[in-house]
Amino acid sequence: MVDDRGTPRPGTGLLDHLTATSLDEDYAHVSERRAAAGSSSRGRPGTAALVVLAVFGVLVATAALQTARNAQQSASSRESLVRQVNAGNADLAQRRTDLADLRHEVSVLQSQQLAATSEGRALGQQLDRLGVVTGAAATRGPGIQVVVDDAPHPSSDKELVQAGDLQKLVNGLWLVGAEAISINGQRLTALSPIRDAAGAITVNFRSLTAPYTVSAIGDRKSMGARLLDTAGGQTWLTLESTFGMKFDVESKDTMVLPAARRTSLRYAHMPESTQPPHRDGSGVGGGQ
Amino acid sequence: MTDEHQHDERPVDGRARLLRALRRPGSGQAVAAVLLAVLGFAAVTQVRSNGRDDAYVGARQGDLIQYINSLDLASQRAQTEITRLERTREALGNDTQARRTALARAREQAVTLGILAGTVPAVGPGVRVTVSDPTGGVGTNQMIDGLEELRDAGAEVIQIGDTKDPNHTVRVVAQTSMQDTAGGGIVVDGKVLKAPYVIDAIGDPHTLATALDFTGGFISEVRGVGGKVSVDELDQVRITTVRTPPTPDYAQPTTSR
Amino acid sequence: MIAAIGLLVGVLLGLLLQPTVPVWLDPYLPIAVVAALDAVFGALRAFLDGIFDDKVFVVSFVSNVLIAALIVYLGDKLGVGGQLSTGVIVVLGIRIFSNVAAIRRHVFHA
Repeated sequence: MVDDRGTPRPGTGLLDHLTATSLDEDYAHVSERRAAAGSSSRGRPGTAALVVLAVFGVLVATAALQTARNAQQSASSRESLVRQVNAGNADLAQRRTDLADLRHEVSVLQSQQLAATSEGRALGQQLDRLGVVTGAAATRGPGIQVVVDDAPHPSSDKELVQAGDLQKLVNGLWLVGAEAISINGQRLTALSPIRDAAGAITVNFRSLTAPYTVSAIGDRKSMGARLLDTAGGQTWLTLESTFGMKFDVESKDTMVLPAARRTSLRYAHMPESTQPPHRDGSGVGGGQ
Repeated sequence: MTDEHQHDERPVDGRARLLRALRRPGSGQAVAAVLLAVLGFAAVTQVRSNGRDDAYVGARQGDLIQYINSLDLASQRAQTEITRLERTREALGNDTQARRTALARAREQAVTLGILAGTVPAVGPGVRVTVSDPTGGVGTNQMIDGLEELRDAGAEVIQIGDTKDPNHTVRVVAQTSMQDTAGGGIVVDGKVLKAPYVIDAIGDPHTLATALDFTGGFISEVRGVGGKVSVDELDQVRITTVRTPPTPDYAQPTTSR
Repeated sequence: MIAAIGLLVGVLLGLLLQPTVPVWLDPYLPIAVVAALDAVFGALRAFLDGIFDDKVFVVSFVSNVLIAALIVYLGDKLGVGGQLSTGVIVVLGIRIFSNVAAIRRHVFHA
């Protein structure tokens, strides 16, 4: 494979070459020269070699210390970051629970106070009506529940539920007279977008995962059938038959749709007032 | 097959050797056993330490820091809201103020919900989107997308109209639905609208304008079916179309007064 | 043996003095250690073969370390630092294994 001097013959591999030449040829050369010059020293390490070995020792020790220092730093800093993330998550969850409780409390107090005056009672009823229609209040009623899901073994994006598919379905439901709709617990309002984002469908800026349960309050006897006649219903029948995507329609005696979380306006206001309405995202009447 | 009971006969093939080793362990095997035990222990330890609890094993430090910042922000927002509501709760609990506070809040909420329900007019900054459709290709597919994009960009009030007839405008609310018609045009909430369409939206003008303009967005979709879109950012958009929401037949609030 | 003492002295010095490594040098330290290790094992093998020479050792040590560091530095500048350092480590690793095998043959007659 290799000749005496370790030079690879054509056709030998890199590994063979490396293995054969791993010992510096200089040692052999110098030793030959010394033998030729008649010196008999058998190759003992001299002072230079000792110095180099000491330097090597320092190098190894320093590198080891440095690595240990770096590892400590990065491990502890990462650990502390992870701890911070966990603490931050817990903190946020706690505040959100507190907020929900507070909202409920305030709305109960407000209802009580409104009930004490006639204007208050009128306002209360108006808020209830508007709450149902706008999605600001938790709403109850009969209707249909449509459950859609991705194809069982999706091989492409087309076999996954897309935002456009949900939009068409929702459009069809409004068309056949739905009075209130929620998707996986997200109440649809005039402000609710249904979008694709980063591989998941987001409704009300919240990520949802399949299967998607679309609850629509309305006439539970006729909505289901009439839905199938709409463009949205037809789309889903096709998706079901072509890709095997789930499309189940079930009529329900009672469903409870939660209130929408965001009902505050930042830009729009009524013409005669000079200020935007008070930022009040607390919902109306017992809703969360 | 070799006869294992004859000790001086060396097994010839590997399998026989293995069988012989299994039945008559020698001292060499003890050493190998110890080394393999060490190897096994090390391997298990390594695998365990790899799969440990750290849920953020893949995340880089920069990502973690960003996440921490966004958590802080969300916490702060929640805290501001909590403080505000606590003040409201106090006001509602204070006898002299309670009624006034409740009425004032209710009136404000009625305005907000009125705007959302389309029962009152609204003004604010926003955009005016004009969609021309010479070939009649624009339909509900594009319009629904456009509506969702506007909502995604924070549009608070939307109105769709027909430039030909100012009476043909529709206030968009949650329940707004669209249908294609055979004769060109779009039916929105029962009203037939024909191109060119005008969409007015109240929100942050620049955010709304940019939201329609990205690749694959409303503007490019309309262009793809032969139409054209022009967007004007306006300091003030007046949406005057109002509607009377039908009284729900089936839906009721969960709390009844 | 005196050589071993020299090594020990170096290690102790390093641990005692605890020199702080300047930040720009930090990425080259590991490569330098491996390159130095290659030179040291080569020297040990040469010693066991009976052909050790001081000068060759010093030259091989210094040149290994400098060249390895230079290659990695060049790689960083060209944007292929990671790959080049991998290549250097692979070559040095093979040489170290090969030298250690030869040393092992000397020591254990195995």
